[in-house]
Amino acid sequence: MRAAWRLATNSLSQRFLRTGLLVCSVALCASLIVAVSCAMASLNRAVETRIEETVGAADARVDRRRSVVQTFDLSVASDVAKWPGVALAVPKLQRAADALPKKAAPARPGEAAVPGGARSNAEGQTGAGPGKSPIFNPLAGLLRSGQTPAVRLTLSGIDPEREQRLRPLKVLRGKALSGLDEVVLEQNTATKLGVDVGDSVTLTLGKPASPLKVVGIVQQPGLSAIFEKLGAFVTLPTIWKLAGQGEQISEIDIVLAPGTDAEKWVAQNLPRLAPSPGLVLDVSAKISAGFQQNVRSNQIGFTMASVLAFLAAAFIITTGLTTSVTERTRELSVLRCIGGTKFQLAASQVLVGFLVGLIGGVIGVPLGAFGSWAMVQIFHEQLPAGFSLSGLGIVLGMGGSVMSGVIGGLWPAIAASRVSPLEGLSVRSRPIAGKWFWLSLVVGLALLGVHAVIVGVLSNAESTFWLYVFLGVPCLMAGYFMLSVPVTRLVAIVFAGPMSSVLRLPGRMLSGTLRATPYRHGYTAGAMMLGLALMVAIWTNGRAVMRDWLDQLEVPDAFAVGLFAYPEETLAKIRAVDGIKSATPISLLPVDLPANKAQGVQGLNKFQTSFIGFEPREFFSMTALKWEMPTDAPSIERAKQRLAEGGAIIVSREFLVNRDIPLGGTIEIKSGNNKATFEVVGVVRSPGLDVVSKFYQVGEGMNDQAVNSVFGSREDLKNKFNFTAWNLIQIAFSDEVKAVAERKPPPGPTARGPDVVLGDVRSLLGLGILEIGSALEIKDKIREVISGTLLVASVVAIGAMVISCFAVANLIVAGIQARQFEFGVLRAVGSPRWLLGRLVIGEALVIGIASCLLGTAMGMQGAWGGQKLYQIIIGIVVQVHPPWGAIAAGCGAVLGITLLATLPAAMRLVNRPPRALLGAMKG
Amino acid sequence: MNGAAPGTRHAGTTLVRCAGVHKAYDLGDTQVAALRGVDLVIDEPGFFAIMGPSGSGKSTLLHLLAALDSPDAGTVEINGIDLSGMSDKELTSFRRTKIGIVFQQFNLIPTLTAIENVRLPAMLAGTDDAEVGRRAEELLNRLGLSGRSEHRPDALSGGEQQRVAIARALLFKPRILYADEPTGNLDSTSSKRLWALLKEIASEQQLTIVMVTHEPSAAVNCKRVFVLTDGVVRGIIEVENMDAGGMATRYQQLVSAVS
Repeated sequence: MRAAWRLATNSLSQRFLRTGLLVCSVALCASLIVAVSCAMASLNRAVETRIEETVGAADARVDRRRSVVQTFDLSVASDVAKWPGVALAVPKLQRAADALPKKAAPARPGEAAVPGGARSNAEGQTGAGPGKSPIFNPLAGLLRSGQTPAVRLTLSGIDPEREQRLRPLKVLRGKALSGLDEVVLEQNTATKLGVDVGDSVTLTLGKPASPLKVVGIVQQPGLSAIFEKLGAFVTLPTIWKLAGQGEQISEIDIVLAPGTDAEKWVAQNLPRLAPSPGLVLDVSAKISAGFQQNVRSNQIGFTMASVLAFLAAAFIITTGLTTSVTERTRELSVLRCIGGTKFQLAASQVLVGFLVGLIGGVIGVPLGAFGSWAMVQIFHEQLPAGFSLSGLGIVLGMGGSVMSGVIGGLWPAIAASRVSPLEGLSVRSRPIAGKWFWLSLVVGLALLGVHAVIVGVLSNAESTFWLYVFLGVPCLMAGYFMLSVPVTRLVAIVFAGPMSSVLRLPGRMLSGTLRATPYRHGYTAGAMMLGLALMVAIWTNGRAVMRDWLDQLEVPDAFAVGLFAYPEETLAKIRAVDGIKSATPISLLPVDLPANKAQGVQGLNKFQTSFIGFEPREFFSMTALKWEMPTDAPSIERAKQRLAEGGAIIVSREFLVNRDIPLGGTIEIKSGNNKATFEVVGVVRSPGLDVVSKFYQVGEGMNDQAVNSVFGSREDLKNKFNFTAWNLIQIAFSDEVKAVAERKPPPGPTARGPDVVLGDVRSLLGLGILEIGSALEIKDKIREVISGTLLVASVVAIGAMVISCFAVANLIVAGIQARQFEFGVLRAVGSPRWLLGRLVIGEALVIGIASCLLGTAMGMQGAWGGQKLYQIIIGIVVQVHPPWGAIAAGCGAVLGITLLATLPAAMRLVNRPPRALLGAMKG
Repeated sequence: MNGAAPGTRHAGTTLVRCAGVHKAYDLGDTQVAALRGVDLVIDEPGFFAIMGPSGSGKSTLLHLLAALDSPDAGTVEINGIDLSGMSDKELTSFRRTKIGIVFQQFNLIPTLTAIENVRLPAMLAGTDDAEVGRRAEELLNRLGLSGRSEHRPDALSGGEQQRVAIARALLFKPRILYADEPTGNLDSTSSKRLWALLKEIASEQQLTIVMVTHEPSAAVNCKRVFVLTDGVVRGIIEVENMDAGGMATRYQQLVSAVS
C-alpha cells in the first residue's frame, strides 16, 4: 500500500495544473452544498427563534377562530387564569389598523378630519350611504390630498406586565409600554412611518384617528420579521378606546405549571369552554410541529440533491482520471515491467481520487461556510438569529467530496490494472476496441429504459417516488453519461466536415482525431452536460406549472382577507361600492382525510386539506367554473343542487388523481371531534380559492399546503363542523370594471378600473380587512415568485456548468499532453502552429455540440420525470414542452464555457516548439 | 523438465533455456506467428545478442525471456526456473527481483528524479530503505551520474537517461539483464561508451546480458549472437576475434540463406 500511496502522491504533485482543475471542481461542488445547507440552517434557526417569540412560553391558546365574531369578553381570561394547572393567562386583542406616516400633510383648511357623509355606529365603525363611492376612512381627506398613503399594520392590545412574562419584547430604544395613549412600534414599522421615540403617530381603527405617543421601538418579534409584516403594541385599554369596543379580546395565551403535559391538559379542560360557544382551546405546539416537519422534509430533499451533485462530481473525476490513465499507458506498463502489481496500480488510482476529493472538500467546505456567513451578515435583519453552521452540510460536503473522489477513481483503477506490461512498450498503432463503443450504447439505453419504466409504467405513488429518487435519477445520469460516447461519435460524423471547412483544417484530420479517441471526447461531453440538463429540466417544469396550473386557475376577480369582526356589515359595504357586482363569503377549515396515496412522501411535503365553504347559489353566479366531470349541463345543475342541499362536495382534478375516488364516491372528512361523510358530485378546475387562501396565509398553522382542497357549502361547515367564521370575501367586478381591466374599450367615460374600486374597498377601515387583492395581482405575484425561483435555480445550473468547466479544462489539457508526440510529428512535417490550435478548438466545439444534445435530452427526460413527481407530491398535472429560450441560452453557455476551458491549453500548445513536442516520445 | 510444476528450479541449471517456444499474436483479423519453435540455451555469464531482420520475432523472444509475456507452447527457463504456467503475480515478482530490463526508449518515469527512478523497484517491493538508497547512489556513481541524482529525466541527455535505466535494472543485483536495443536512441559516441560500460559491469558482477540489436557494431561486443529469422533461430555466431565487418558478413550469410 505504501507503494500505491507514493505513486498516487507523486502523480498528483507533479501534475499540478490538472490536479488543481479537478480539485477545483470538487471544491466548488462542496462549497455550494455547504453554503446552501448553512443558509437553510440559518433560516430555520431564524424561523425557530421567531416561532418561539410568537408562541413565547405559551403552552396553549384560547381563541375564537372558527366563529364569525372573533372577539370575546375579557372575563374569560380571568376564568382561565383560575383553572387548575394554569401558571399564567395572557389576554390580547389584535386588530388591523392604519397609521399615518410622519411626512403626510395635515388636512387642508375646510377639509374635515372626518369628511362629510361618514357616520359611526355604536361599535365605532364608520359607514357610508349606499350607492356611492363612500369615504369610509377618517384619514381619507389626507389621503386625497395626494400625500403618502396610510400604512396598514397589525395592532396588538396587550397587558404589558403579563405579556413581558410570556413573550418579552426586546426594546431597542425608549422604554416598554406602560400607560394609556402610548404606543411601541416594531423597528421596521417605525422606519416605514418615519417616526422615533418621542414622536406622535396617528392610528385609526375606524373611529376618528387618535394620536399616540411613541414611547419605544422594539425588535420585530415572531414571524413578522420573516414575512416583513408591520406591527405595533398598545395597552388593552388603549386599543379598546381606539376601537370603541368594550373589554374584548381575541386570544388568551396560557402558560401551564412546569411538568404539565399540554396535550392532556387541553383534553381535560376543553369541556370548561362548553358554556362559551365558538371558543377553541388548543396546544401551541401545533405551530412548531408543522415547522419541524417542514425542516425535516427540506433536509431529506437537500440530502438527495447533495447525493446527486456529488454523483456528478464523481463522473467528472472518473473522466479526468481515466484520461490520465490513457495518457500514461506507457508509464503504467513500465511500472508493470519492473515489478509493479495490478493491485498497486489500481490502488494508486483510487488513492488519487481519494486525495482529490479530500483536498477539494478541505477547500470547499470552509469556503461554502464563509459564503453562507457573508450572506447572513448581508441579510442580518431577515436572519436575526445569525449564522448557523449546518452539521449535515459539513458531513455531506466533506463526506460527499471524499466519496465522489473514491467512486470516481474506481473505473480508472480498473483501467490501470488492465494495462499489460507490453501494451505501452509497443510503438505499433493499435485499432480502437469497438466492443466498448457498442457496450456504451447498449448499457446507456438500458439505464435510460429503467428511468422510463419508473416514470411511465409504475402506478403506485409511494414506490414510484422512492424508486425514482434512488434509482431513476442515478440511472438517468449514468445512462446519458454512457451514451456520451456514441452521441459524440455521431456528432463528429455529422459536424466534422463542415467544421473542418470553417476552421480550414485539411482533409479528415478532425474526423480522424475524433475517431481515434472516442472515449476521451465522449466522456468530456458527458462531464459538461449536467448543468444544461438541470437548466432545461427546471425551466420545462417551471414553465409547465405556470402554463398548465397557474394560467388555468380561475381565481376570483378580487377578494378581501381579514379578521372580519363584523362580516355582515363588511359584506354590505363591499356590495355597495360602485364597480362591484357581487360579493360572497368564503370559509376555510383545515380538515383531515383518510390516508392517501401520497402520505408516504409526506417527508417532502406536509399535506393538509382544507374544506372551502361557500354559498352555492351566490358562488356559482359569480364564478364560471370549468367542470371536468360531469360535463353535460343537466348533470352539472344536479351537482350544484346537491351542493346546496348539503352532504356533497366538489373537488379539483388534482385531488381526484391523488385520492383515487370516483365521481359519486364518498369520503369521510374530520375536523377535531367532528366527522362527516360527503359524496363527490363534481370535479372542477381549481377555483383558485385554495391558492388565494395560501397566498395570504389564511387558516391555521403556517405551513399548510391547501392545494387539493374540497369545496362545499358553508351550511355544511356550520352544521357538521360547527364552523361559522369567514376567512375571505370573494368579489366580482361589474362588466365595466372588467372591461377596463382587460384593456377593452370602456363602456362609458366614467368607467372605473379595478385599482380604483379596490382602493375604495381598502378604505373600509375598522371592519377587519387585512388585505385586498385582485386576480391579476395574485397571479402576477405567484408568477413573480415562480420566475424568481426559476432564475435562482438557473444560477445553480450555471454553477454546475462552471464546475464542469474545470473538469473540461483538465480533460482538454490531458488530451493534448497525451498526443504531444502526434502534434510534434504534425509540426515536423510542416503543419503551421495555428493549425494545431484550430484542431483543438474544432474538437472542443464537437464536444460542446454533443454536450448540448445530451444535456437537452437529459433535461427533457428529467422534466418528464419531474412532471410525475409534481403529480405525486403536490397533485398538479402539467404537460412537458421544451423551453426553447432556456435551451438556446444554456447551449450558448455550454459552448462558451467549453471554448473558454480550451483556449488556454490551445494557446500553450501553439506556442510549444516542435522539438519539445517530439521529445514527449522519449522516456 | 516438461510436466514439472511452474517455478521449479532444476539441478544442473543453465541460465537461459528455451525449448520449442511458439508465440502468435492477433492483429486485426489475422493471426501472426511471431515465434515458431525457438530453441536457445545460454549457460554462462557474458554478453549475448539476438539479431534478426525486422519482424523476425526478436523483441517477442526477449519479452518471453524477460517474463513480460508467456509462450503459447514450449518452455522458458530462467536460472533453472520454469516460467511457463506462472501466474501474472508470480511473473511480476520475478521481474522485480530476479532480472533487469532496459528498453530502447529508456522508459523512465518522468515525474520521478533519477535516484527515485532507480529506487522504484524497491518501492514497488515495499523494501525501499536507507540501504537501498545507498545502493542506488553507488550505482549512479558507478555509471558516471554522480551529481545528477536529483534531476528529472527531462533534464538528462539520452545517454544519461539510459544509464539511469541501467542502474534501475541492476538495483536488486540480478543475474540476468535484458536490453531491447539499448543504444537505438543514442548517437555513436554515446553508444560506444554504453557498450564499454555494459561490458565492464558484466565482467565485474558476473552478469549475463542478453540484448536485442540489429547493429553489427553493437553485436561485436558480445560473446555469442543468436540470429533469428521468421520466428526460428537460424544460426549462432561465435564472435571471438571477429570485427564488425566480419560480423556483418556472417550475419548476412545466415539471413540470406533463408531467403
